Amino acid sequence: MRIGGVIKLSALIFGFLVLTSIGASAVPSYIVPSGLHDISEVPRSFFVSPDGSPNVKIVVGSFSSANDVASAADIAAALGSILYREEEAKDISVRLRKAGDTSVVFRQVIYRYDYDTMTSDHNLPYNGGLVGWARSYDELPANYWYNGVKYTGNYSTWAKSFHVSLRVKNGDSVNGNSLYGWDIEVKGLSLLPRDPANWNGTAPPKKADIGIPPRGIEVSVDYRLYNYTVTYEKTVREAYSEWGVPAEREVVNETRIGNLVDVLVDTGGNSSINSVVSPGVQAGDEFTLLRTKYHVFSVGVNNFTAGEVLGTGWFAQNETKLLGDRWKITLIGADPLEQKAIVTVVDSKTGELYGPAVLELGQPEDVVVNGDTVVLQLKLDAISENLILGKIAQISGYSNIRTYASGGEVSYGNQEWYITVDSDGQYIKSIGLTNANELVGNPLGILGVYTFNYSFEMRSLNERDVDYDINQDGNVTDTSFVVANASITITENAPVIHEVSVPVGGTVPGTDYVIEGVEGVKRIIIHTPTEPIAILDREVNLENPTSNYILVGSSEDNILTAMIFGHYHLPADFRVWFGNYPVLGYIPKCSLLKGRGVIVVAGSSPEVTRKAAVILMRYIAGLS
Amino acid sequence: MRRKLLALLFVLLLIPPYVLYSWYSSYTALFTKKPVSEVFVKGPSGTVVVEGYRDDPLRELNLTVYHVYDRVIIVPGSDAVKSYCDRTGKCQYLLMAVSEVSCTLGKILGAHYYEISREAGSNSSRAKMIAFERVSKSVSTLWLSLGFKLSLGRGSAGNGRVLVVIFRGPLDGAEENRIYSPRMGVLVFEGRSYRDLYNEALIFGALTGIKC
Repeated sequence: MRIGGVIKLSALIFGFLVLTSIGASAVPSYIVPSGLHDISEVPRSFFVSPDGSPNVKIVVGSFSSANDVASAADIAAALGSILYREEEAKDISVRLRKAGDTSVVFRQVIYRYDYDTMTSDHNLPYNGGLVGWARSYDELPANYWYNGVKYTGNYSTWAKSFHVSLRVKNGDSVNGNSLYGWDIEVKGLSLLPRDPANWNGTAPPKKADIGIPPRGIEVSVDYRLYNYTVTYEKTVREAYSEWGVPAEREVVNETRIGNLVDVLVDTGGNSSINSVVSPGVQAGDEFTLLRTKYHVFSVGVNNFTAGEVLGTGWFAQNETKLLGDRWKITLIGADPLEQKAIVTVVDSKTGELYGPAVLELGQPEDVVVNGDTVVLQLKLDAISENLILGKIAQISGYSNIRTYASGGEVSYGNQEWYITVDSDGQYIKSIGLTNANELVGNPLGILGVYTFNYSFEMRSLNERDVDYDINQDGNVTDTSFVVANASITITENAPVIHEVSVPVGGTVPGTDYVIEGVEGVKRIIIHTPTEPIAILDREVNLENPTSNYILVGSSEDNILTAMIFGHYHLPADFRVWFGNYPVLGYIPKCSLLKGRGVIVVAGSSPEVTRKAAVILMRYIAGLS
Repeated sequence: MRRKLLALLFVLLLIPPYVLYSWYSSYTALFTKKPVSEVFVKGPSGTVVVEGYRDDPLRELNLTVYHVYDRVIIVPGSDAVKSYCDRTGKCQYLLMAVSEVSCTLGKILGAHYYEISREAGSNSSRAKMIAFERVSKSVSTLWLSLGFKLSLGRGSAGNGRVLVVIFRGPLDGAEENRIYSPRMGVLVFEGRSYRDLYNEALIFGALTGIKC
């Protein structure tokens, strides 16, 4: 009798052979030892507990060869790739995006041509419907643009449907308190193709500029602070599912203070405003608008007069220093007795020289004036004679002092914007900005805060290379088929990463880890407790098992596999009884392990064990 | 004339060894950088030093880990370690250390692929399937050979596209129990014993905030 016959016979005695195929790709067959269940009966709860944490450990054999080490890494990575909750995945992806120099605040795939969109969005039948699959860029269809719901629109439906709201907390400040978030709306976007030059609006261009029409962006900053109540559910006790203790949640009403963006962002609008804590910005205040600092001189109805704050500097006699980032100031004379200083100013942008100007203590002096705008105003704040430095003067300044009224123009990031002022003669309640001209570019910078990006990607796959009939025409030929997608991404230029400080000797929040000492470092990133995913076969506590187990390795390698096989009267010699077939078995309630679930993943050699593991992982990945 | 040709030939012969030598020395330099800051983290069995070369060691570690790579190569050790494991079968702790770290990295990459598939409109189970497929394809193990050392030194592996995670155990010249990322795309676990490496792998999970 041939070897294969012997193995098939032994499989009949000690197990059953599962010849199965999932989906289109044939999965190699495996043996289920008799008395054990097939892995298709393994429920999702075997891997994940109700609270979402992993409920399974990989049990590693005491005999671990090099091949075992290599396959364990692959198995663990595959297991890791599916063991997370939806919110956790979101959290990880946010961290991934924040770790770079910029953080992605918005991403939309605007065109998507692939198997998923063909079969699900366009309902093309699996057999016959894919025959016309595009083979090149020129064949890409026009109706795979995102229309707000599905990938069935054309370019103009996408462009019309495009709308994004960005709400950024704590963007601006008043008198140093960064409490004022931004509400940004982008309405309407267009693509201005660079490649192909004669774009006909069918498939997304390979290279394109992004265009935002005039008044396509609206930014508003609310300078009022509210006392508002947020209602949310808080976990007061975590679940201890092993003891049957459920999680306890409690409805909490929390009073917070913030501007309209905070009210809108917090708990998705589930909040109510109680009162106005701060009615806005008034004369004498310093506030920022899109991170540019202004000093308010007066507030009118729907207008206010303010200047950009240049800051303050100490000048020694004949010293030249930059005040702000544009004006070079030289102190050419100082008279402490007369309380006067004489300066000259050079505009570093144009090289033009102004002055000399005489500054009197405490009197603002308009040094450069252009029409209604005081381009530069300087003030002598203090003057004295110092033994070492000689005569010194403290000078502060404002630039662009003017009246900002609704409908007027201001410039931000070299772009012109129309301003809208909501003020009542005493307080500035809010300020709105909208772009005066069409904004074009890729990447396209907006307000010096955001960057818009357009990207297009097309990939192809040859039927021969994968030996698969991609377009379902009945033949595997030497033909490549393409998939394509285009997306718009908005990134924030200066992301704010909030980190938690932990002093030396402190415990890292949520963990048992203690920071012993820190050299040259003050901060540490917050993290959560860890539980090993893998444990040794001889470390499994048979009296008090803590999770379900995946046993990796045959009776020869893994003591626990040997014990379980003995317990169920199964043969120990894998090579003889199971040959080169992967062995997979499921025990829903293992009496050896106090009723815990067990999956055996084994084979006569590490290579075969690995095959078994791949079959198991494929099954787990299919569990939703 | 002939003398000049000989000299030229001599110089030309010297270039390849010189290039190889410089690649190799930039490989060895990965392990001998002087840290500017250190954080000592107490784990389940012993303290581990996390070293930083630019500013905050934990930030550097997280910047290396929280990045989307096309490929992740896990290096459990050199060929010497491979034959040691095959000869003795005593590589359980190395195996567990490697499992822990690859599970963490698999989870980060998996969550990323899951999230972008979800954003692109796939349902949860399809997105998990995609994440699984992509992670299974992109994570692989490799034993450290001379050729791979040279490509690490050259920078063709261990960069913004290919993450290389090196386990440096007692057989590979480990001197201290430490975790460090000498450059973007290279992460080193160095331990005086395989048990120490396992301890570091557990701490690593906590430092990245990923419960695997």
